[in-house]
Amino acid sequence: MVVLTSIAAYFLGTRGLKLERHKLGRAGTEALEILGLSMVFLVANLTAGVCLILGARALSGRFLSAYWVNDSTLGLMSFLQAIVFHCWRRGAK
Amino acid sequence: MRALRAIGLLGLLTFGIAAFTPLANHMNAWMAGTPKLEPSDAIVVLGRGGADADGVLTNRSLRRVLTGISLYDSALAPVLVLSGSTAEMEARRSLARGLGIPDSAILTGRQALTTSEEAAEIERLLQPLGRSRILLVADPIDMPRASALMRRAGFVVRPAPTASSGPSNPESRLGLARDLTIELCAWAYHRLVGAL
Repeated sequence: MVVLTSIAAYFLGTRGLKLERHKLGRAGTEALEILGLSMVFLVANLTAGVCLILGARALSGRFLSAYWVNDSTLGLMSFLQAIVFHCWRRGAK
Repeated sequence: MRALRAIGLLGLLTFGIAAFTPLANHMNAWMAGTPKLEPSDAIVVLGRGGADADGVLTNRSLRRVLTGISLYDSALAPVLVLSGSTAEMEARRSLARGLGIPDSAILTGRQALTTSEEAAEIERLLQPLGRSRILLVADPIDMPRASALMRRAGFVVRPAPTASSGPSNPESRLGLARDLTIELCAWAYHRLVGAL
């Protein structure tokens, strides 16, 4: 499915939108940068989450599960953070 | 920028391997070890994920208790120990009763929210009764750490994992890979603090 829609997008881009083929490689590396940035944000979010939980445990003396940070939405939020940061940085250039 | 690209590529490769290859399934089976379903003194069902406010057990908690009930029905032990949070234990107890396990065969202790707490609580419940050989019901990936903690509490552990092969679709495999990562971190943490 993904291969089919990617081929369709390629033809739409080159023929319909007149995009330049040689810039596709650059787009790929930029996508990798966004993905890398997402992972950096994800690790930062996980670290902050675990530190907050451990800190709250120590301060309150109550048990708080570290599994609270085990949530798929954190990955999506990290991706959004990365996109915004990337666009912001690109706009500044 | 190069570093970000490298991290991105690594992430993409990890995603591909975790979702589209059976690596997570193999690790799952490896961590489960070989089940030893032999007559024992008690069946111990560890908690996992608790229960919702309306008393509905999580998928994994439900799988575990059903495995425990099935072992009891196979007459592998006379006692079924249900562990976990208070809500989880209550929901499991009513399910076990509803499926025909006599109340006298069900043991629950105080609330225990971590595997270490569960090991201590189950030790407090079973050791005075002289029940030291246990069939331990847990998810495959939790089995190495749970077994080690129960052995440390003085039990002879016979693993009874809930499943061994794991899921077959990419989304579930990704979930399994995430759980494997968490469990390996928990294992490392326990080793670091000397709990294992």
